[in-house]
Amino acid sequence: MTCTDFQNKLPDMIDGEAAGEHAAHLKACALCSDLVADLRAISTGAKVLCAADEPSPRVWANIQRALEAEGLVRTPRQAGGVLVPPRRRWAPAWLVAIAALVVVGFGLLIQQNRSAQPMQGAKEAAATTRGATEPATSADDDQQILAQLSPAMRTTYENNLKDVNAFIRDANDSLARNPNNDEARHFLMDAYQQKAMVYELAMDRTQ
Amino acid sequence: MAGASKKQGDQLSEAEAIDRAKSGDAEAFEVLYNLHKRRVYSLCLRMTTNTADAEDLTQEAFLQLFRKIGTFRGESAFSTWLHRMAVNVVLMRLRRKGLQVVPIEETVETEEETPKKELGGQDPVLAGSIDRLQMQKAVGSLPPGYRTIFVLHDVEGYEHNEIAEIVGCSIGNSKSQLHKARMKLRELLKTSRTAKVNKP
Repeated sequence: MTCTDFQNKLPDMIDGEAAGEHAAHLKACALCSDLVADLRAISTGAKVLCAADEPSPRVWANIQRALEAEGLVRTPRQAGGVLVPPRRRWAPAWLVAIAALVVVGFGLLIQQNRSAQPMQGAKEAAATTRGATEPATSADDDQQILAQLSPAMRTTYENNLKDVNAFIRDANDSLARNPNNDEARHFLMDAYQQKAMVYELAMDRTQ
Repeated sequence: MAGASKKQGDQLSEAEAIDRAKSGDAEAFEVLYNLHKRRVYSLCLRMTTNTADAEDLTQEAFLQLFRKIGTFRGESAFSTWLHRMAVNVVLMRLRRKGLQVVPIEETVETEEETPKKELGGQDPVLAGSIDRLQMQKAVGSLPPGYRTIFVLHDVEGYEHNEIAEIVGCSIGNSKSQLHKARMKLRELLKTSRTAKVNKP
């Protein structure tokens, strides 16, 4: 069997085991066995792309608005059987302030960093970014927001905050490694905007 | 009670959320969205390679789901039902944009698609050296027809008979396009690795 004969049969064979003369060729031919190993590595490696990305919180905000506009969302009926009109739950002022601080504070910080960078060492600039942004939202703030939510929503938002905090950590690390990279700066800005949106959505759910 | 799908803490299980969503419970919609958003969004992103389109399609897929949730009878798993809906939403969009989603039955193989005996030193195999970003970039570079089949089979785990039905091609065509997609990816990944190694 030649390599061409073997490779012509690959589309039918690749997801199963080679048998008979194909198996013998695979064992004897380094070129074909490398090819099969690569194709299997690609097929296995592709699994990392499943559920690998997170949509921005804006997607849920849009869905929510559309559900309300189409009248698909109902609130519980009262004892008399009257449908209660949707009511917006206003969040305490301190929650609003935290969310605003996250974005505004970070925007200012980026501006400061932009002008400070030519005078500072790269590592120092990155450390400033990290040091100054950390207090903007702490684990305590997250816990205070989570405490306002109904039990059914708490786990959901806990997971959302974990994801977005991990995103912020990644973005911070990336900016620390590449302090002059505009893309890394936008990445971090985007991460903070996402966190602000998660807070905003949580506010609408506060009890 | 679907104990298996019961989530930790006080969060609704998927089965409870489905029941409550059927009567329009806002929290239940949100629980279902959070359970499935990553997979649906990743599918849309892989197939369109554009974050704005992917967000738009994710939104459309979930809205269709919530509009039709009253008809879900549980004959298939909820996730299967939702993902099928998402795939259809994406394919409809791609078709509207005039992109090739149904692979061409029999293509004349080009030089680059035809496996050939390589002379000279062998490249090291890819196994263990493919990271997520490389893979993401390479999949994004595939032609839409190849990409659709590759994402459905290797990323999402659909079988060839299911792909043939969803996309509207033969099983043999699905197999052959998948093979070509993997061969193209191999070439892209090897090129990107060589470029990385040669970078000063």
